[in-house]
Amino acid sequence: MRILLSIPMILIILTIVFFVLRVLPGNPVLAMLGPKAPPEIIHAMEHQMGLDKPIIVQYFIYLSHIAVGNFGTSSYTSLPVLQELLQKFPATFELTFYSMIIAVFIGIFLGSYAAYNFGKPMDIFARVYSIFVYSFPVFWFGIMLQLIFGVWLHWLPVSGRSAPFMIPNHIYTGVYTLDAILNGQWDVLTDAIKHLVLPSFTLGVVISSIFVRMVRSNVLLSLSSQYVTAARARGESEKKILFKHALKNSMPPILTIMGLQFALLLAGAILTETTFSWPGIGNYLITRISYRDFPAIQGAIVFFAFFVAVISILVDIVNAWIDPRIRY
Amino acid sequence: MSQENSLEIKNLNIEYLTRSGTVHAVKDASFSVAKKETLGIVGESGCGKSTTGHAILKLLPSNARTKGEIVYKGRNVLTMPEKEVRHLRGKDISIVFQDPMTSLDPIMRVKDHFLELMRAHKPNVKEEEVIQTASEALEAAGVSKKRLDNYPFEFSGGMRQRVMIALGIALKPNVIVADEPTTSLDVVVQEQIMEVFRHLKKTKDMSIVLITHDLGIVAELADKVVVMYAGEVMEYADVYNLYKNPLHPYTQLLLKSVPNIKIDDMELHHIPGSLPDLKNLPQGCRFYDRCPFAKEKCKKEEPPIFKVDKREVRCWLYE
Amino acid sequence: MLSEKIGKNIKQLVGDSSGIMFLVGLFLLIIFVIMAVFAPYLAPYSPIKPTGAPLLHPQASHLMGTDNLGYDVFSRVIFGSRMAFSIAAIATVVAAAIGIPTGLIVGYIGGKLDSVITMIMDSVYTFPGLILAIAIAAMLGQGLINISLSIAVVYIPTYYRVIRSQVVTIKSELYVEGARAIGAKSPTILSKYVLPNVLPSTIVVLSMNIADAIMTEAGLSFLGLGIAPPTPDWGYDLSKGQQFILQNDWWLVVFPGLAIILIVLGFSMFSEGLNEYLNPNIGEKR
Repeated sequence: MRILLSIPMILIILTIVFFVLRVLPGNPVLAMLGPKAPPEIIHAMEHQMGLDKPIIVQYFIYLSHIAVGNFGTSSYTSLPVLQELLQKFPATFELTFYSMIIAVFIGIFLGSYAAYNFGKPMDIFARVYSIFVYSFPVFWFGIMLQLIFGVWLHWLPVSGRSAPFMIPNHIYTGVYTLDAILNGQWDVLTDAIKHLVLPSFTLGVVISSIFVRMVRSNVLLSLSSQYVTAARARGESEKKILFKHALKNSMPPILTIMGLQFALLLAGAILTETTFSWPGIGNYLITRISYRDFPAIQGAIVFFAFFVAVISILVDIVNAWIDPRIRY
Repeated sequence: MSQENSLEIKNLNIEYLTRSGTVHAVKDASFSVAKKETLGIVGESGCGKSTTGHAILKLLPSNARTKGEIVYKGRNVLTMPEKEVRHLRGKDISIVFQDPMTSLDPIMRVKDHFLELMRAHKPNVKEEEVIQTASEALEAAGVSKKRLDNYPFEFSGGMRQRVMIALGIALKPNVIVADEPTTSLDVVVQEQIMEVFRHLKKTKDMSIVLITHDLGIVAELADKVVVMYAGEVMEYADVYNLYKNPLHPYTQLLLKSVPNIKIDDMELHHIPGSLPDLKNLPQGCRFYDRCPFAKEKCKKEEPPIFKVDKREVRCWLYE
Repeated sequence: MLSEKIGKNIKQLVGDSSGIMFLVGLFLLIIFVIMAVFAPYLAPYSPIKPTGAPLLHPQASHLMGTDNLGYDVFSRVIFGSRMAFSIAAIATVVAAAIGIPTGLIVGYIGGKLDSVITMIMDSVYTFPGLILAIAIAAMLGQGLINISLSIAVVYIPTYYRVIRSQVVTIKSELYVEGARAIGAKSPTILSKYVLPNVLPSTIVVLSMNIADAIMTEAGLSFLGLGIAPPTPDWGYDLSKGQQFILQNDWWLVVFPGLAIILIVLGFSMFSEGLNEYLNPNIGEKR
């Protein structure tokens, strides 16, 4: 069901990306070659890139290429864009994955304890936390953590994914923490974790503000429901009521909104990657923008669109698994 | 009322602290429930009958303040530590709520509800034992044990209420509080649920506290009746005498408002006026505004409970 | 009496925590507005001229220190508020000017047009806003108007969705049906019945949106897609300051960051309070 819905969504995003990159002022060829390039070279380049064809034709060529996984060739490295993206993707995945875990962890614990202690200091702390942290620019928070834990305390590295030579011997997945375990290289694992701590905390904490707020209001709603009173009337303990009834019942709406926040997580990932020189797709996108590498820019954005679509499908699957009413 | 009591309520006072003021929900309520006896609590909505019912299991919201005693097995439930109250709930005293549509956790199977109930009181109970107990309770409430694996949304309102009743009786409690168990159901289903209660009354050894505004149900099932108005017990009597000879003017009006085909009087009576504001109660009798027999004294002084041949009534007429 | 009414409203506001929040937010916003309007009088130096030795620590002559070019950080923070306000204002106005009428009309007409436009808007809405803004900004290039437009595109669906869903609800209300039954024309119904009803939530979305727009702008300029230097801009100053944190020049990043946080906090608290005041039943949604 959701898969069917996400096809038009991807199509619409592809279309918007196409028109943004082709129709807006700013000739990509001119941008690549510079304003002083001779006209015949410009024409040759335009022809090579198919830019001399009518825009509608270009549009369908673009769609058919993406359908078969052809994201074009980078004008900066002359490598296939898809290959470059796939090579950068594990770093982005690793960062967003751990950030998400941190955000969910903070969100669920702080949010549900706040709801449980409604009106008490814990609740007030959670509300102040979510308002404050929400207004932290993710890059500023990252820089602050770099300053405190990297520069002042010297506890953690402030940039990159790994120290020199601390790379897994054999790359299975590209996710360093996983590869290090698969290779049994514990020093590489420690190094990868050390590099991950600051970026994933930066992104995780900033995103958690929304989760805390959301979990809190949904759990509050569940806690005031009749089935919670009924569970209490059966002699269930308060702790179990909070986790088994209130939290579990608030999960479907929470997950749905978390799925929506995933877009925010990706946007945050671009900023975090830039802040920590994390070699993922966000960093790739920003670097290639400065090189005016249009196939790469387009490819990265399309890739993000797919990423968002896949996550929203996953959220639906998990929801169905939790809530029997959706499952049947 | 000399029988052994399974539950005694003494001078129960309940207030809700709200932003706009203190709501005096229950004042000075006293009554008792004997073993195997069914006690009806009747009154209009908002009279404090459900609040009283919930207080018996200490299930009131956190803004509620209670005074007085609810004595079960010689101990006051209201001052008992939370942990001990928890062990009473579901095992010694259980409750069936008004709205079966929201009383079952939507993401838990019927079986899981029984599992939760029994684990709460016997942490390492075996699954077979749970299924055995659940099946018996479900059959008693008129639900097939085949439905143990179903989710609440697969049941109708009436069936859900049967499941709630089954949960209420599963551990053979001494007292079951039925808080308007039929109010939110349609008429045919109401009758079916009442049939379940009739059956329970006949076959099980437990006391039932039946909270309802339906005087017909009370007449049929209850042994004793508490009539509440604006948070106060207005009349407390055995069911036979109460219906035959209601003492309190409110009880009289209440009985008149029940359509009765046996009497020629086909007119439907209703009691004019409405409940007083529970945040801002009048000085005298709470029923003063609506009482056909109101006197000057009623306006100024609140009547105490008067005893009239083993019956209790809160009215100056019986001074 | 008007004064009585205002007094009563303030009392109502201060009565609970959301009222206090609203007032604190308002206070923060007033400070920033004063900062932006009177920047030339408040700033001790020109923000785009070297005014001392490079990388001075915060001290009496330079309250927030100087950057690597000797620019006064304090003056740049004050002038930076102008950039934040202008871009956020242009972006919000453009987004609202496109999103609100589209939502009104499409929601009112309904049918196929509604499903198609809504699907497009939903797609853009689900897509990470900053990434879309990056794409557009990368094409348009630096500059005040370009950045504002890139941000505006991202927030059109926000207005569209809020307005459309309200219009759809309101148009089936009895009083609107009644008006139609006695022959009121569509433009009349829209302007007389629908618009006044959607106005409160529009105001709330508008003020919430400004906070988001400021954040997005800061992100874009941090990524180097914002205003061309040396125009003072908090996001850009942060990215430049980051180059010097390894030598512990913390003042380059702490102060512009605090400025962003406080202005965003101001708008969030303000709009949150406004929300509870104007739409008490909407409450925690958003």
